[in-house]
Amino acid sequence: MIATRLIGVVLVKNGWVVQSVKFERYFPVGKPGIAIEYLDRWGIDEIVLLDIDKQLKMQDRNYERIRRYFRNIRTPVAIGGGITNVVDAQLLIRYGADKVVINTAFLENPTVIQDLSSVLGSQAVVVSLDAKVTAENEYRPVNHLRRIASDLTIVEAVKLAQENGAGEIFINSIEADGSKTGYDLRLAKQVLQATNLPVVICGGVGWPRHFLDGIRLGVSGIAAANYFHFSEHSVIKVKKYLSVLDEENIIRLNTDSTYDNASFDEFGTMLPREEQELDEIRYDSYSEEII
Amino acid sequence: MGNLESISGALDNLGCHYQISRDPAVIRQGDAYILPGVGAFPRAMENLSRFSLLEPIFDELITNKKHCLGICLGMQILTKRSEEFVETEGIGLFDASVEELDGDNVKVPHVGWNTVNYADDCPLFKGIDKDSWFYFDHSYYTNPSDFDQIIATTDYGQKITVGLQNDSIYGVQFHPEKSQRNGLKLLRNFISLS
Repeated sequence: MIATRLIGVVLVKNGWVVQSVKFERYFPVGKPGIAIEYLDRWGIDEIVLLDIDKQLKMQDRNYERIRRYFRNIRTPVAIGGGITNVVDAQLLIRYGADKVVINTAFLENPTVIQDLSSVLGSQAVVVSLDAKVTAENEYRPVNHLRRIASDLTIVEAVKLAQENGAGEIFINSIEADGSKTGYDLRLAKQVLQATNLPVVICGGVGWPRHFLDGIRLGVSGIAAANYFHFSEHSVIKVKKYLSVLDEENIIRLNTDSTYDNASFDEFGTMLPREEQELDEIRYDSYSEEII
Repeated sequence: MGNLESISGALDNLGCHYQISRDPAVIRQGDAYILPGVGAFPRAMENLSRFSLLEPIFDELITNKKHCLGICLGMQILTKRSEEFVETEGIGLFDASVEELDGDNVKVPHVGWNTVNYADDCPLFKGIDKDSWFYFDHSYYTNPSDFDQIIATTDYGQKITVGLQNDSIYGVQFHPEKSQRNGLKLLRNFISLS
């Protein structure tokens, strides 16, 4: 049966990978090529590359750079950021994307999703919504072009996306973004109830425990941007934790490093091994498999 | 149309010499073929006919028995017909039809990693463990009439066919160019056939 996807999001602004907090503050982390390579090497299930430069247009897009980023990456890739038309989407797919992620263009004109899915197939079209809590305590997607919350509620927007042929829904929480206090589970539940499309949630992960809470809701994918970029083998350790702690959901742990016999604290942080154990494996060597 | 960069990248990783072309003359010179695909069935068939590719395909695959690997939509167009959007005829080399996944049972599209079981002795899966992970992203699947052509299945609500073979022609529903190491092994096995 299908595994729940662990998804690495790479946010890019002015050519740099950035760490974002509440979609307001951005701190540079490093170069996209490196982030992408590590995610791929550590066995991430999907990579989402989002260009968040304001008003990015098709004529500014650097397809050659996309090709370079992904040419040697054998992991599925979704690309988003200022996509408004079919030609741009086709080129992105031609140059390395498996799926395109549409946000603002959908809020401005939902039928663009119909155009895209009729040419690319809905399996290649992801609608992404950045949810904000309004004064009335409702979730609404934010329209970044107009810098205001949409007239639609998040539930209405999700249903509209599905009606227009979206294949997947990617939900981000603006409040949770960069908070390290976990996913907005209430938001996730609302979205799961509103659609039977695969749903991916993002925003707020600080500890592996948060991924576990997300997975238990029944989403198709648990995504994080900031989380993966700061520690060695972050992806593998999270997958190991999830596969040990969660018996119901399926996690794909398919790298050479499998961290057998690992144990974790209540946050999901992997605990260090005993000295004796480390001594025993000290001289083990593993050669890289040539395919 | 499709994700040509990924296939090319994978073939480069494997040191395989390849050409991307829609020129029938170039196509006839190939030793083996890969038919990738992202998009929709009707448009793909329309393009094949528009660029006069059906004849060279038949000649090389059937008459000259060269090896071919269809991937995702590439596999689907090798079947007899599809119900995607509008009922469309396919190339007809696999005795199967393409139908929509049942959304009452599972989420559609089938997107993500799933384990694949395959027929013993299938050369495409040599050196790959049974129940290995491969990446899928599709809303339609192949429903075979000739069960002898089935070489791989996966479990998604029900058991579905995700690999077909007819003589020298292979098709897989998953994306080997996006399935990390397992995918590269499968592509290596395919290249080694020719």
